[in-house]
Amino acid sequence: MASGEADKVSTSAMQRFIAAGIGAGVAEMLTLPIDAAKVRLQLQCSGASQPIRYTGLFQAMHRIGRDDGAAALWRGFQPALLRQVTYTGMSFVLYEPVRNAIAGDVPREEIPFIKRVLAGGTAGALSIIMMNPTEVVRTIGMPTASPHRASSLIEE
Amino acid sequence: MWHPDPCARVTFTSRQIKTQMQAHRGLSTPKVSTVLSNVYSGAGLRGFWSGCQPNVARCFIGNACEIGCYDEAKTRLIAAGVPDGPLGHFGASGIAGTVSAIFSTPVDVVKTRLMAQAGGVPTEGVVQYAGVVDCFMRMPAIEGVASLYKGFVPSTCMHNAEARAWTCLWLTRTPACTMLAQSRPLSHAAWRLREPSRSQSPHAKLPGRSCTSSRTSRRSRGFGVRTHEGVRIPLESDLVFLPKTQAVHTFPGRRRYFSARQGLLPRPMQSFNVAFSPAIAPARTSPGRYVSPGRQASPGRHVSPGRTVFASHLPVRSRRKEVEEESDLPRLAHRMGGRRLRRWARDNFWESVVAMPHPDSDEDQGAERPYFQPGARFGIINQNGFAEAEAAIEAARHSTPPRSRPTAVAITSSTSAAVTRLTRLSRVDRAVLIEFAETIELQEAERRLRQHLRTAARVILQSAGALPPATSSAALPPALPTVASPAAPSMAPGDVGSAMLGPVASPAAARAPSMALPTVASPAAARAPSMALDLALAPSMAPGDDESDSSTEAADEDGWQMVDTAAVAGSRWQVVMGGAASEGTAAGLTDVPPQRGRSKPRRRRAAATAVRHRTKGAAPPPMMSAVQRAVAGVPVCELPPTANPTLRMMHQAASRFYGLQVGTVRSPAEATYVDECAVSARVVSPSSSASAAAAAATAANGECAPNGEAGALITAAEALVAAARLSIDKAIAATAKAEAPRRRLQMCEVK
Repeated sequence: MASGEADKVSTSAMQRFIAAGIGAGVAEMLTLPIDAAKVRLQLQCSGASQPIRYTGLFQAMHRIGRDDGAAALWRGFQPALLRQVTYTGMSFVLYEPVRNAIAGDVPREEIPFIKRVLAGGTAGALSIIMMNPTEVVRTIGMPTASPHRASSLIEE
Repeated sequence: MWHPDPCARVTFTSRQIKTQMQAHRGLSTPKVSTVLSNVYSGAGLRGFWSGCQPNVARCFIGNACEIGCYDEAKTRLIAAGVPDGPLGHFGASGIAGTVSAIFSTPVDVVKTRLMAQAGGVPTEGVVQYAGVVDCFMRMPAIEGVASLYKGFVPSTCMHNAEARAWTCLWLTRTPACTMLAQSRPLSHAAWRLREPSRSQSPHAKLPGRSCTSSRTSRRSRGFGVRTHEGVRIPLESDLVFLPKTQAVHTFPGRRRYFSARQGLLPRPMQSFNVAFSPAIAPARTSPGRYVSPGRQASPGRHVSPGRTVFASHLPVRSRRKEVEEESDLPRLAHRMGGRRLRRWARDNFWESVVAMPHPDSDEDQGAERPYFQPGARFGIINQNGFAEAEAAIEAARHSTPPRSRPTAVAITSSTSAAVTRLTRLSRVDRAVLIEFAETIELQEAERRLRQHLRTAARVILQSAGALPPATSSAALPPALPTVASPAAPSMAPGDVGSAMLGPVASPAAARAPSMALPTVASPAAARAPSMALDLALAPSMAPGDDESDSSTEAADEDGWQMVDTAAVAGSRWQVVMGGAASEGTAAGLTDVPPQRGRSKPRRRRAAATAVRHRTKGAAPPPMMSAVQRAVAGVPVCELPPTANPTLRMMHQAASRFYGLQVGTVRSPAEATYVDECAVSARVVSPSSSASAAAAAATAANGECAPNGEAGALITAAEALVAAARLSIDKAIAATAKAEAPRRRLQMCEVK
């Protein structure tokens, strides 16, 4: 019985990681253009001397596509994919033990809201602590401005 | 270089910026290796954890909101009426994503800027931040508070997508059923147990395979739950359909219910392994016909092996037609698809799983177990009998003349307990039973039932010659419930209920134009004689033997005459009963002293001969009741040796009670009888009401202690008969009070 439990836990953790990774990868590929637009929107400083380049989600996506080509929307997908798969899979794997540690041996339906929130947050935090390098690589790897703009910065 | 703030540790030279920018200039994404080396050269290993603080905060907030809000939102959505399907899930995940975006976007903005800074990519405004706090302070100061929500819309979209991907994973479990390992015990068990049974041959999954239980061999023989009849429902089945109304069980063990939602194992849709209750199984038989479990458990007719398993029970009557229309369930399931099938199952069935300690188990009987464990059993009581009892009670209530209800009914504690038990067993409205309890104490009814059973067994045994009369009289406490009628003191001390159900030998009946009671034998009952019928028939004849003089035989013949003609007509049986008898009923129920050892088998046989003569003259009746058979002299044969003690007990009881030989079918007529009566000698399981009656009779004889299956069956039988008899008694009493004794009395029609 004990060995069976151990088998179950190990296999299910592995399978959970894989499953979460696949799901997260698919979702990331679908949302990568949105993410690109988001990063650019977040990085541009409003109120500065520069004119506002991106005003909204769709405008940003359209502009990126126009300026840099549609491929720019998916540029840097490898680190993004790496980050998403590792982070989501890890938080998936971690969620259940963290939840059990927080809530104790209570049926899933009876775990109070706050404990569930805590568990989810803790799992996410733990996994991102482990996977932060991928996040760094992803953020840096994502082009933040058009090359013309960057080159003009360099020339200054 | 060292700085307490990890973000500030990342310093970058213009060379790094240039490198970075040059990488961008070529319209190419910086290579991962380039980025890695840049970060490492800039801040060492710590650079990889730059922006970690806001990132952790962001992930904490995002994850917490997604997970927590998802559950909460889903609960509320479902409570608000949103169906628990894709709509509910997507609504909940949308809410969760939005909430998560609201809370995590400011941190996200800070994180993005800090990380971009760490990689040497300047923000467009060339603003450099010293750290998280600095960023949080300066961003609103420079760009306004709204800057903290830069990119809120795409952030919301992404969170939504994340939440949906998350929930889709939870929902579908597509890759390798990983999400089964939720803390639902059923899922746990299924997860654990799924593996070994997969390797088995398909035949091992078929029902009817009894498996010996030893904990060591558990892996080899696969897993499943065994129903009452020993039908094993393998755990490969994701859906186990049992008739909704059959779920009550009376085992002394713990009781477990699964709601439909809990019981349905989530699996990828369209690929169910279905275990169907036999409620759906006997689709190819004619309606209304009882199929013995032994026959309907042949799965090959209905399904491919290993896919569908039948337990064994009859459908609830109200559902029967529908069930039979949807005859081919596997095809139906295929056609319906997953969702409709689930809904259909949820509407029509529910699951009850009884955690029963396995008989062979060495575990502590009181130990708590998971629900699905080898040896766990489905406790099902044949709802057919309860339906009959309910119908009888219902009919009796409607046929009772209206009168003022008592404002308060005094119920003793024992009666209250009995009411509770009967209510639970028969699902009869408690008020109805209480109403009955005012007339006749339920305890009294139960006691009389036991006496009936004893008497029935005794009469059958004696008349068929299975037991010597002296032995049986000594062995059986022959307390016979009777009606002491002042008007007919020599009348056969037949109970009113039995008088109604069976032929009553009464001098008054022979003399006077009588009160005829059309009774319970409908065509359906003729095909499958109910237990109540047989039980009631038997004791009604005993007093005729016990006490009557020569006029009894004539009356007996009269009674049988009525029975025979009615049987030929095939519609209903009429019983001649004297008005005096009804008056006696109204007067009250008292017991007469038991009549020991006074039965006269010879006279009984003479009456049987008369019956046979008459039936020879008329068209042959479609069937003979068990009592008739017993009277007609069908010998009771020796029991075949059986290893199973319970089975042996059941065989014994059945053979004694019905005068049948167990194990063989000797003639076509008998085969028909066996078929029709559902007292099939080949039945290996005591599921039918007849067998229940037999078990009850055996137990009433004191041959076995009521425990386990037999106990449950006995309880069921008792409840059934008690309920039916209560209704009958009450109706008769009320009618006899209200109406003239010689009027015809329309009584309840069972079925």
